[in-house]
Amino acid sequence: MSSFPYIHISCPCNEDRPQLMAVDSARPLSPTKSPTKRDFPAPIPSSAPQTPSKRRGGPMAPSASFESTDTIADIEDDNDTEEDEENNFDPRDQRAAFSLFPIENLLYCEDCHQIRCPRCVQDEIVCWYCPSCLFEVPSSTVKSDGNRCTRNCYLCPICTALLVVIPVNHTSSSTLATEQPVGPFNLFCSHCHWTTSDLIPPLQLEKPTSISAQLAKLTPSAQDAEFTRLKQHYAQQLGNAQEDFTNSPAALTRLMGLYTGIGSGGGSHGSGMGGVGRKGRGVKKLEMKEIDRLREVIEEKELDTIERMATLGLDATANTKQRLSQPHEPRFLTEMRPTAVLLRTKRSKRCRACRHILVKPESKVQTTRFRIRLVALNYIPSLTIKRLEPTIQLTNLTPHKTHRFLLTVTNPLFDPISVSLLTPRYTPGTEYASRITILCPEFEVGANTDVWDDALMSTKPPPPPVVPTTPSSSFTGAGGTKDPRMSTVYEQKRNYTSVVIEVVPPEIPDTRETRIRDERLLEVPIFVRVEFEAEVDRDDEEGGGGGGSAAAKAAAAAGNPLGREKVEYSYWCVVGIGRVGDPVEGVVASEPNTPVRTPVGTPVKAPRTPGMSKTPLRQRLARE
Amino acid sequence: MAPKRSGATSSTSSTPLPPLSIDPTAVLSDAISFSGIYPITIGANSIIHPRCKLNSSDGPIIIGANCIISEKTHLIAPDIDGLVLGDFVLIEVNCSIQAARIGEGSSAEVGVRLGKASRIGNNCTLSPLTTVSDRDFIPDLTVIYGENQRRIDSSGTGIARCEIILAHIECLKKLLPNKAEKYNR
Amino acid sequence: MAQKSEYIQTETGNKVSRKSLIIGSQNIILGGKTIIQAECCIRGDLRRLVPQGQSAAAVAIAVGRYCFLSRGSLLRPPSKIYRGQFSYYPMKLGDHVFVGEGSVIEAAVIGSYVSIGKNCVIGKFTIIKDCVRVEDGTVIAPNSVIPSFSLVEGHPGQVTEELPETAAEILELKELYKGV
Repeated sequence: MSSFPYIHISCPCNEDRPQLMAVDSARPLSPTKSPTKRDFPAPIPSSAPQTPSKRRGGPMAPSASFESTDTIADIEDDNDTEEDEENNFDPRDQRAAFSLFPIENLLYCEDCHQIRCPRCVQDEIVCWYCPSCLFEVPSSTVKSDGNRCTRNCYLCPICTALLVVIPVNHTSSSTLATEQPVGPFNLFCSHCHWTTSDLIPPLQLEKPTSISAQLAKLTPSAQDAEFTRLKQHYAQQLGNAQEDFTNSPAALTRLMGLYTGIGSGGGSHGSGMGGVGRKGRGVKKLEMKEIDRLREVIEEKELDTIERMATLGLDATANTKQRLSQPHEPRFLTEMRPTAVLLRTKRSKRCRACRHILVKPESKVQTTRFRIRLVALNYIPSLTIKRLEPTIQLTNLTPHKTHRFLLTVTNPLFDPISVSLLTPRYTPGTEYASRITILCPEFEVGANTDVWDDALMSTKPPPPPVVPTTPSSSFTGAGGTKDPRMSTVYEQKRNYTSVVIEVVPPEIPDTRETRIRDERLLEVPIFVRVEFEAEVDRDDEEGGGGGGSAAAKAAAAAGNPLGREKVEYSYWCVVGIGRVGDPVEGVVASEPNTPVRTPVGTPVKAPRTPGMSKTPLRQRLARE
Repeated sequence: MAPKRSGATSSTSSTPLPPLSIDPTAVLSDAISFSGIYPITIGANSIIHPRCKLNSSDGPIIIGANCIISEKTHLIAPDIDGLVLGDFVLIEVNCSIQAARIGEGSSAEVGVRLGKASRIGNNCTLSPLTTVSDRDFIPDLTVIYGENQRRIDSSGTGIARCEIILAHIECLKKLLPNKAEKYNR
Repeated sequence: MAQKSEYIQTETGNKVSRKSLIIGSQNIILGGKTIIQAECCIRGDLRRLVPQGQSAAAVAIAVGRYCFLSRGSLLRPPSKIYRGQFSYYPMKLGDHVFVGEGSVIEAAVIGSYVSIGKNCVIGKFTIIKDCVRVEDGTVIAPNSVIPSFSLVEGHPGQVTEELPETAAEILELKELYKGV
C-alpha cells in the first residue's frame, strides 16, 4: 500500500465511455484512431450497466448503502440526483483498481490523445540481458539455451545472493601473492557462506571460469534430462513445421490439435474427440508416443525420504521458496543447486489502439536513454497534495473535523492552462461518506518554461520575481483564522497553482464489516478538466516528445496567436488522503453548510464540448 | 540500558577515563570515547576506528588480539562479568554490542545488535542488521543471514578469514594515524 | 535561520554540515550542490594502497552533483584481498544519489538517479546502475550488481519491480537541494 497521501490517475481504459478523455470538437479525433472499448482488456463487458448498485458489485455491498448516501445527498441538494451520482468515479469500485496508477507509470499516446496505462500498451522485447554481468544475450541464444545467463552468474540457492568463486583448499596468502590460485574451486555465497561443497556429493569446479559449462557437465539432473528429452522429442515430431510454426494459421491449428490430442489421453489420439475433427492431414503424422508418462512413485524411495527427514530434522529441508526456485524441487538443502541468473529484457511499448510506439529504449544494455518516450508526466498536469496544517495525522484523521489540504496542479505544457477541478460533494461508494469541498475549483496555471529557468538557476540565485510568498510563512496563520487566500487561489507560481481542499470525514464504527471493506480509507475522486490554446499545426512537431520540442513550442507560443485553437481534455484521479481515526471528544458533527467556506459549487461551467453529453458531477448545480 | 553520556570523547575531556590497558601494537584512532569505571583491555594488533564508544560502567571490556572495531560501533559491558572479544573478531560499522562474549574469528557485519549478555561462539558470521536477543547463545560456526535465519558454516573459510583480517590490519596500520598515546595517560 | 549556520557551503555549492565527520578530505571529491547532513561520516582516509614507488591513488570517494547524504549515513570505500594484497578501493557515486538516514554504503559504483532508503546496507563492491530505488532496510549482499530501472528490497536485496520510464524525473534531487 502506498504511503499517504498519494494521487493516482485513472486511465481511460477504465471507462465504458470511450470519449471521456478527449480533445474538443476543434480537433476531432479521426474515427480510425479513436480507441474503442474492445481495444482494452476490460475485465467486464462494455455493456455492463453503470448503476451504482452494480458498480459496487459483490455480496458485501448491499444496495442499501447507496440509498442512504443518496438520501443525504437529496437532503443536501435536490439536484444531486442519481444521474449525477452515476457519473462519479468510484475509487472503491472493484474495477477501478485495475486502471489507477501514479502519473509516473502512465504513458501518453499523441495520436489517440489518450493516457495509456501499462494495461493498454503492448510490450515488445528489444533485447535480453543478464542483470548481473550486464551482457546482452542474443535472441538466438535465448531460444536455444533458455532465459538464464549462460556465463558465470549464479545465485545462492539458500539466500539468493550472488555466488563468487573461491579455491577449495586455502593456501597461505603470502604464496598467493603472485601466482594464479589453484583449483579445485567452490562457488561461495558471501552473504550466508553456503558453498557448493555443502552439496551431497560436493560439487567442485576445476577452473574458475566457464562455470556454466562445468556445472552442466557435473549436474545432469533427471529433470533437466527429461526436459531435453521432451524438447528433442517435440522437435522431431514437429519436423519441418518447427520453423515459425506460430506464424502460419495452419501450423497453429496443427499444433493445437497436437495438444488436444495429448489432452484426450494416450492412445485415443486421432479418434476424434470433440473439436479435433477438423485436423488437417499433416496432423496424423504427429502422433505423440509415451510422452505423457506416469510419474513413478517408488515406495522405497519415499520411505527413504521420510526417514531422512526424521533424522536430519527440519533445518535440513528446503523451504517452499527455496524449493520452487529450483527446477527439480529438492526436499533437502543438500540437494540445492546454484541457480543461474534469470535474464531481463529491455522492451519498447506500443499503444494497443493505434499501434504507435510510445516507448522505445536504446538497445544498448547499459544506457538508460530512450529514443521515444511519451510519458504522461510531460503531457498532463500533475497533482500533488499536502497538509495545510502540520498537525493533521494522515493515518488518524479526526471525524467531523475540517481538515484542510493544499492541492497543487503543476503544468508540464508550454502553454498556460485553465483547470477545473470537480469532486462529488460526498465520497462515493461508501456508507460513510466524507464531505469534500474544493474552495477554488477553477483557476489558471502558468506555462512551463522550466527548461530556461533551470538553466539560469544553476548559475544564478533564483530571480526575485519568482518567489512572491514563501509557503512556510503562510502556515502559521492558516491554522484557525480565516485566511483570504483560502477561498481563492492559495499560491501561484511559474507553472503551478495551489488551492485549498477541505475534507470532513464522518464517524466510522470499528466493526468487522467496516474493516473488511476498509471503510476508514479516505479516497477522494477528483475530476480534472484542462483547457488551453495550442498551435494548430502542433502535430508536426509533436514527435519530439516533451523536452525535445521545447524550444520550438516556446518560440511558436511567442509568435502569432492566429493559428491557435482550443484544446480540452479531462481525466479522473483519486487522492488517497489517509485513514479516518476514532472519534475525538468535543469534535461533533456540525451543520454541513456552516463552516468557513465559499458557497457550495462555486460556479463551475458546464463543459463546452458539445459531444460530452454525460457531464460529470455538479454541472446541474452550476446551472442554478 | 542506555550508555551513560559521560562524553569522554577525547583526552581533553574532564571526566576521568576508565583504567586502560592498551597493547603497544594496537592502533587507536582519534575521537574514541571511553567511559565507565571498570578496566578496558585492548589486545595486540587490534584496530579501533574513530567514533567508537566503549562503555565499561557495569563491567570490564576485554578486546583480544587482532580485532578490528569499525567506526560508530558501541561496545557496552553488560554486567560485572564484562564483555570479552576473542582474537580475530571483526566488528563492522554501526554495531551495538552488549554481548558477554564474542568468540574467536567471529564477525559482526554492519549494524548488528547483540542483546545484553548474549554469547556468540567461535567463527560465527552475523550478516548486516542482524539482531540477537538478550542472553541468547549462538553456537560455533553459525551464520545468521536474511531475516534472522541460521545455518552452520561448513565452508571451511575460517583460516582464510583470519588471514584476511591480518592483511586488513596491516593495511589499516598504514592508513590510520595511531593516537593510542593520547589515551595512555 | 538556524539551519543556515549548520552548513558550510563550498565554492561549488556543496553544503556540508558542521556536525558531519569527514575523514581524509583530501581524498574526497564532491561534484557540487551535494548536501551532507549532520552525523554523516565519509571515510576518505581509507584510500587505495599502491606498491612503493608509485604515487598514491588520490581519490578514495568521488561524489557527483546534487547528491543528498541524510543524517547518520556513512560512505566507506570497499576493501578486499586481491592476490594476497589487502586494499581499499575507490568508491564512486553519480549525480542525484539520495542516501537515506543511517544507511551504510560500501559500494564500488553507484550510478545517477539512485535513491537509497533508510537503514540500508549496500555491501562491498556492489555496483548499482542508473535509475534504481532501494527500499528502506534493504541489505544488498557484497559483489551484487543492480541493473537500471530496478526496485530493490529484502534481506538480501532482490529486484522486485521495474521502475517506469520516468524514473529519472522521480529520482532527481534538484528541488531537494533548493529546499536546504
